[in-house]
Order: sequence, then structure tokens, then C-alpha cells
Amino acid sequence: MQWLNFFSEEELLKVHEASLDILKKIGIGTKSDRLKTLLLDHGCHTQGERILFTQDVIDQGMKTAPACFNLYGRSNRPALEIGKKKAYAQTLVGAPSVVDLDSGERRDAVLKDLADNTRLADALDYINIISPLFPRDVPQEIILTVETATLLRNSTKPFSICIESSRELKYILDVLIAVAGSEAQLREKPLATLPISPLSPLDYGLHPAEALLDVADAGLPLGIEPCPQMGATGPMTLVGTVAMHNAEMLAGVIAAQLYKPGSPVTMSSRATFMDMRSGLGLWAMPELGLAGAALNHLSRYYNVPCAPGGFSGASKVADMQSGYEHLYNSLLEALAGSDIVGSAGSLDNALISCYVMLVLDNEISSVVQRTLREYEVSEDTLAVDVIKEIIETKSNFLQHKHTRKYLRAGELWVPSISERGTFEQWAAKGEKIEEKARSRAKQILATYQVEPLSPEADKEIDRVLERAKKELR
Amino acid sequence: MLFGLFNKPADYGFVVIWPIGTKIANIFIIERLEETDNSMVSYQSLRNYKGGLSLNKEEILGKLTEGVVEGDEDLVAEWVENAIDAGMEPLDIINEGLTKGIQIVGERFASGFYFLPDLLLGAKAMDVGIKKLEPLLAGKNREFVGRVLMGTVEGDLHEIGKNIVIMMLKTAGFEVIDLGVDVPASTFVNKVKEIKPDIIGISALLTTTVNRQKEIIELLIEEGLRSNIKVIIGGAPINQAWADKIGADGYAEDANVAVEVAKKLLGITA
Repeated sequence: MQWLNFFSEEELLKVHEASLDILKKIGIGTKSDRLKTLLLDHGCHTQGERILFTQDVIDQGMKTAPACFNLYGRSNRPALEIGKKKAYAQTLVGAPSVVDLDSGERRDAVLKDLADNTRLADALDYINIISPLFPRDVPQEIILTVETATLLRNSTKPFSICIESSRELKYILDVLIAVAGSEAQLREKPLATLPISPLSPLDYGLHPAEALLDVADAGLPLGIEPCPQMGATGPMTLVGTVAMHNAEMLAGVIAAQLYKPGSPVTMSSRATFMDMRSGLGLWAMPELGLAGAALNHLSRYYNVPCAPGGFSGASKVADMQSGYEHLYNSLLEALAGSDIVGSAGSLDNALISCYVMLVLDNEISSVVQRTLREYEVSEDTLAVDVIKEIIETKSNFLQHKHTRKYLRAGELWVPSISERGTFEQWAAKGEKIEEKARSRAKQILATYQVEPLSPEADKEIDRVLERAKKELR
Repeated sequence: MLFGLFNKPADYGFVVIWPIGTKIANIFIIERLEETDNSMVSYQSLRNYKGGLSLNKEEILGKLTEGVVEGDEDLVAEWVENAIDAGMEPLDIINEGLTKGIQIVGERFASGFYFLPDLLLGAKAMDVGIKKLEPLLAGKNREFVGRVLMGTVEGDLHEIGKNIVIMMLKTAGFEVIDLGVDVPASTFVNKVKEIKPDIIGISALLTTTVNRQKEIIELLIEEGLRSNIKVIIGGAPINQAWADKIGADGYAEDANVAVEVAKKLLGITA
């Protein structure tokens, strides 16, 4: 299948040039002396408090960014190939609230929710990468370390752990190393990407900048994930926000490459927009998906993997609105070439994690990934001879071996939860898809077991947690 | 046709129509925008002929009001100077010209005709006027409905939401002192001691920084300041349950509600 090109070639170059113009004339801000020194040493210059890029620095940085890297789960899961545009679904990061599976009410997320949500995601075939929600009942000082431990204990899939600063990085790495076996093994087969989130517009601050450098140092895949809002922290025009957002992500990619050439990195766009009445940040459609598709087009041009948020919308419950919002954004981005599509299981503009929605997003992800399948166009698949034979023998396709062959090969998409039976079959229970998804989530949580960690790894994680508790007070 | 029904700014008849059909509302907005364009033309001609015109006080105040309503800071700057030249009292210029404008902006926002950019541009235009008048205001106190101290907590650099709330509060007649972003609890508390605000507004966007709101409230209690001040918290991850848990007096899910909450806490009914 051909990727959807959001821009014409001429337009693409215009947007690209605008982004370079932004880097050269407006530059980035940072309070990190390390980042500043790195950039200046490589030929950037300053103008007031801004660091301006030159074409040479940009060229040098972009030259070494890898087009592809692998992400691993524990216990020999097949690696995810980041860079092959497979639209891997990743769960929402950092939601402070969940929708309670029993009451259906929104409430604070707690540690048990993180464990349950992770286990549920582990069981869902088309959810590929797990990001932690934000439990409120965990000591703040060690929250990311606890999250990492909880992820590993409840899933064998790869993770994405967004870090605001380097404060806990050492302990996060130690937890991952406890499972990977050694630092070298973790570098060779990374169990997680670690996105950092600079501030829009164009500001790497102190902590995101330091975290960027430290993640590159640790040799783990980095994500550059600013989150501008059209009309508030980005221009009101979609292409204006795309050009600026692209520039701020390029700045991070370049910085990581200058620091550690060849560092795996994704451009993780989150092009949100503001509700101009209430000021709410919207992660809704169509703008988030459209801007995501535009930014994917640019990242394909740079040959740098991309990981936009996409399973998102403004709906407050798992319903038809959240269904069409999530499908619109994720499918549009996938068609434009996404390596990862984030925010699965989210509601309310990525502020709520919802078990039911995660089950529904698994279904959406299934059909999105299916859409990207390559179709072989050959004599056998075009089946002219088969058609001829059927017509001549006055037979039908149902009893032809060609039909059985391709059915077995998976020519038809098989839904995991969508209702496709007769009216009578449906009417016997009369269940809506949301109710069905809820039962599925409950059933999985009641029965599904994750392959446990080795006792040694488990004990080592406990020791890291103890250490973190003591040292980070 | 429709325009004729609602041409006075105060006649917000379309509020009633709005929910019935967006089509009608759209027609109305187009009409309104045309009106705006026309009035811009008339400003232009007034500006051109200004030298030859002698305007009375009412007319000057009208221009100031319109300047704020249109969010046109150049126009406000120009007419504030004209007003000063005409010998008008600075407090009259504010209260009868600029403030009237921002009230209309507030009404239009509340009724759904204006959006946040209109509101912020209106407040910005008003600020330009007030800055010009400040040197003349020495010893003359403006009247405010209350004093609010605002800031984003330590470790958090997000300010857009906070700034919208500040503009909304100013529009509603509050005096607002902004501490900016990444503000340590001690800075909040020291400023409270210094300026004795009626309300303190604490913003946090990152899920990792919301606990700082609690810290500030605890420090206020420790310093014996809590009973004299109302605490409002806000930010995307915040909800009423969190406000209750940390003992905040108010929580607002958006900037509109923030103003309502602030008024309610100070017992302001209007």
C-alpha cells in the first residue's frame, strides 16, 4: 500500500524550510548548560537567550539518526520494528484518573489500576506497547520507579515510560536491567522507549533537556514529545503548528544525535488544539489526526521513526463518539505512515484511562494494522483463471479450493469483539459493543495471567525500589 | 434582517436562538462580523479626520470602549492620549471608557459570540490603556472587587491556562498579581504575607506536580495564613475530588467557572 502524502512535494519542502527557518532564526530555549554547551560546541550560536541552529548543525545531526530500531519485550517476544511504519498501538501515558470498571464512574487512578490496566493491555493482541497511567497512591519521590516495576510485573510487552526529568532515571534503568540481565543486554535489546516532553513553543527547559541527554547516554530509545496546542502554544493555522512542532522535534533529534550519534529516537508528535470557549486542551478530531498525518509525512521525509498520539478524542465515556474519534485519528495517522500510535484506552482528551476503551481500541488497532497489510497482486490472487472456471462450470466460489486457501491465509479480517452475527443472535442478549467490551475486560482481568518474572529479577527489583525510597527522599 | 433584531450590543437575543439551530447563529455571526468591519472603517475615517473634529467626552469614551471591544490596542492607545489631551480624569477614562469595553467583551464571551482570543485581545487592549494612564494615577486608587494571587507550582512551566484565568478575572474586575511559573511554595506564602490577597490561585498541569498544590496549602496552614485566604486550584489533571482531598476552597474546571468560583468565595453576587 502507498503511504498517504499529506502535502504535495512542493508543499512538503515549504513546510520543511519553514521548520529550518524556525530553528535558524528563532531557535530553542533551554536552561540546561549541558545542552547549551553541546549545541554551541557543534556550531550553534546564541541570540539573547535563544540557541540558533545552522544548516551545518542540522545536517550533521540529521545524518546519524537511525531510520529503524527494535524494541523488545521480556521472555523472547518478537521484536517490534520501529521504523517499518506498522502503527503499533501504545497505551495512554500519565492519566491521573480511570473509569471504574464496576461503577462506571471516574475516580483517581491507584496502583492496582496500573497493574490491572497493564495486565489487560498485555492480554490484548493489538496493543503493542504499554505506557503507565499515573497512580495517586504512590510516594511521589519514587513514582516512575514504582511504575516501571509494576509494568514489568504485569506484562511481557515493551514499554514507553515518559520522564519529566532525570531524577529517577538511574532507578528506572536499574529496574529494567534487573530483567534484561545487564546494562549491555538492555542496550542491545531495549525493553522500553523513554520519551521526554519539552515545552511548546520551542523550549527545552532544564529537566527535559537534561533527561534527553541522559536517556541518549543510557543508550535507550528516546522519544521527543512536545505537545503544542493550536491557537495557544502554537499558531492557529494547522500548517503553522505543524512547522513549529516539527522544528521543536527536529531540535531534540539533532541534539541527541550530536551527543550520541546513532541514538535511536522517535518524533512523537502531539498536535493538540484549544477549545476557544473553555480553554480546554483538545486531543480530538479532525485536527489532531490531520496534523499527525502531516507530521508523519515530514518524518518519512527525514527517515526518522514517528510516534504520534492517535487513539484519542474529547468524549468522556466509551461510546460512539470516542469510537469514531479514535478510529479517525489513528487510521489517518497510520495511513500517513506511523510507527507507533499512542493514547490507546484514553478518554477526555487523554486525561482518563478507561479499561473498556482499551478493549475497544484493541479492536480499532486490529483493523488499522490490518489496513496497512500488503496485498500481493499476482496471477494467483487476481484469480482470473478461477473466475473463468467458476463461470464455465456454473459453480460458485464457496466450493473452490482457491477460496479455502486464501481464507486460511487470512484474507478476511477477523474482529475480536464487533457484532457480526444474525439479528436473532444479537437480540438474544441485545448487548451494545461498550457492554461487550466491559465484560471482556472483566473476564480478562479475572482469568488472565502474565508470565511471572524470575524470582531473582523480582527480588532485585525490590532492592532497587528500597534503594530508590532511601536515596530519593 | 436578523441583524436588525439584535443590533444593540446588549440585545443578546441570539443566546436563545443558539441552541435551536447553528445555521441561524452562523448567519448572525456573519452579520456581526460585517458590522465589525463597518465600524472599523468608521474608526479609520475618524482617525483621518481627527484633527478637524472636536469630539465631546461621550464620543471619546465611546471610542475607548469600542477599542477594547474590538481588541485594538493601537486604537485604545490613540484615544487614551486624545482623552488625556482633552483633559479628562484618568479614573473616568478607565471606569467609563475602558472598563465598559471589557464588560461588553465579557458579556459577548458569556453569550457565546466572543471566543477566548477576543477576550484576551480585549484585556490586552485595556492593559495598554491603563499602562498609559498609570503615571497619572498616583494617589488615585482603582476599585477592584477583590485581589487574587496566581501562579504555577514549582517544577511546572505551563502557564496558558493560568493566564486565561488571569484575563478572565481581570475582565470581571479583580486585581490579579501573577507570580508566573515554577513558583516554590515559599514564594507563594511570602507574597501572601506581603500583599494579603483575598484569593490564591494555584495552577498545575503535570500529573507529577499536582502534589505541590497540597504542599502550598499545608505551608499556608503552618504559617497561620490559611483562615484569611481562599484557595482555588486548577489545571488539566485537577478535579473536585482532589480539591476536597487537599482542602482547597474551590476548584474550577475551566476559566469561566474560575471567575464564578472566585466571586462566590468572596460573596460577590453580581
